[in-house]
Amino acid sequence: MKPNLDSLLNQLESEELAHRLMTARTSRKLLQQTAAERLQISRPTFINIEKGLRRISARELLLLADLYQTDPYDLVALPLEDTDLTVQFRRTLESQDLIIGEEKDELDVAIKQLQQMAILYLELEQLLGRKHIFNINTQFQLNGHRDMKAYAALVARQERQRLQLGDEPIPHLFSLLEEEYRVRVFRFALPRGISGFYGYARGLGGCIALNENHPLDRQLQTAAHETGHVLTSAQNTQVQVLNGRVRSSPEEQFAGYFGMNFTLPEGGVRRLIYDCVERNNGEAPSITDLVAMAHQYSVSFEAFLRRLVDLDFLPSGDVKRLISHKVVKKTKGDLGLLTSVPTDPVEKILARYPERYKQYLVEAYEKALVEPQEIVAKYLVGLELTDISRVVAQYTRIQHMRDDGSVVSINFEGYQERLNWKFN
Amino acid sequence: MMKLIPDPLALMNLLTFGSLPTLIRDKEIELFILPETAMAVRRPSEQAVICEVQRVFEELITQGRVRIQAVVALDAPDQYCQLYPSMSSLSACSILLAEQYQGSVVTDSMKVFAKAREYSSELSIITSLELLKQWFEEEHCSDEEITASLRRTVSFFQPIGCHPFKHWWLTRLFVESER
Repeated sequence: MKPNLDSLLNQLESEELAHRLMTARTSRKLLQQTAAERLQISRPTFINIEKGLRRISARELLLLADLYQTDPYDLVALPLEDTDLTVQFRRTLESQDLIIGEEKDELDVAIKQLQQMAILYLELEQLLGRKHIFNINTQFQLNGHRDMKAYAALVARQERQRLQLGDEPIPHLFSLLEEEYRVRVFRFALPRGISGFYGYARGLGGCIALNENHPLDRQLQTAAHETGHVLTSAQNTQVQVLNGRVRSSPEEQFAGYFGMNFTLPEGGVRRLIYDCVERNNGEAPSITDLVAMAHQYSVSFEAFLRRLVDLDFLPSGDVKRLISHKVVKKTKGDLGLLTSVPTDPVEKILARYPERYKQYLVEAYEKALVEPQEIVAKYLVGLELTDISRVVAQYTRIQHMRDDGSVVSINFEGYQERLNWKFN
Repeated sequence: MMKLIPDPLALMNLLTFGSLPTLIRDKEIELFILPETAMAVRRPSEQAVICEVQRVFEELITQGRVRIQAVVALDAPDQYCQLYPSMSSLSACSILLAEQYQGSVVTDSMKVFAKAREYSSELSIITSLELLKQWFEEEHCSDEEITASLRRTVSFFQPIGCHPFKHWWLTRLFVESER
């Protein structure tokens, strides 16, 4: 349970509170005089508040929060150095030499959003008394490796072996990141040119943001790329921009090659091609075959072709020609493989959050630790109150005690279907 | 006169009770709600049951049986600070409104229920299911009517495991299908 405003006010250093109040006022472009008038005090007295020389009461805090259009709790929440992603990102953005121009402000907002979502995840863990262990077994060193491509391939092979994935496609990469490495993966709208980013804070562990506006196969590719960063520099931040806009550092090279080898293992891809050639009586795979193969491994057609180039199945010049082929889209359509973005608003909202997060939220709700208003305002932003039942039903089964004392477990959605059937 | 201050889900649950307008008139029930609650109930929806809830809601407002009343947290900062942020601003303001009108908070959130009890043992707080059960009994509703009424809300209302009327709700909900 969060402490009340009064106790938070007492715990916070005067200087820190003064700084936050001033930042909140200036960000709303308000004059000291305006704020002083709202508190019905003189301007010099208000200046003393902003200098940390005069403490404010809870009532004054509410007045100022109202004037600054902010949550009073945000103004007095205790410093969260352990959960701050923004400082490290600022340093990274400078050192990564990214050409993001006008999108920088939007990126700042997105970084704060990732931080906020990860803090809420942490809050749920704390509410339920669950421990989150950021689980990176090995940190692979890049120093001394000249052939980054071969090294990334080796690490990808080792990781696949460790995770017992063999050469098979990875059907649920987001869940794998969450369950195996305990990275918090969120998907929401990022600036157009940003595919995703990885951040780390001691109290939060590793966190990944993926651009929900990109096609799913691209999001998976980005997640695989970020996995490469997690394995080499789990305590650093990385921002991935769209191809060709970033300086190719050893870290980026490693992550790029790792992503390709991790999602498209050499053995698996070779076997697909050989099987296909055999099926076609020695003929090379058609575009339809290649589209289906790319889909089987949940990667984009382009990523699959680049892997074929990498494995010397295809001349590099063919990639551009094949991608632009009209038949690709048609083939995808014919095979029913066009990437589907959830159209149901509830599903779209749910897709933004990790599975474990949603399970924890429903558990906290069922244990009366979270109220419906908090779900729609904080934890699953944008959800309607009337949709909560549906979300809870997805993650629980109702325990129903019969009159004879026996307990049956009922799937709520199933129950509704049965009802509709009866009524119709 | 009974004064009720329901949160959005509790209000919607109560509004599905067919005899509510009559009951409100006969029992002199007055509903006080926050503007935020009204906004939540009025959110556009394609679900027929919610559209019906909205229709009844607007009718009751027109008849003056539902009063939309804003609460300014600044008018009771000490009380507000005791409630917020351990619960949402809407729930905190609902409690302040109940104190102001000496009415009963109606909520099915067991978290709000527990926090409100911690805040004041004198505060009257009740669940929408308890009210509905009471009303069904007073109106001598048949089992079938009760089941039908509860099933209307099933798409948006499901009491959590520790809700005191969960067992009653489930038993009533399943009564017909188990026969």
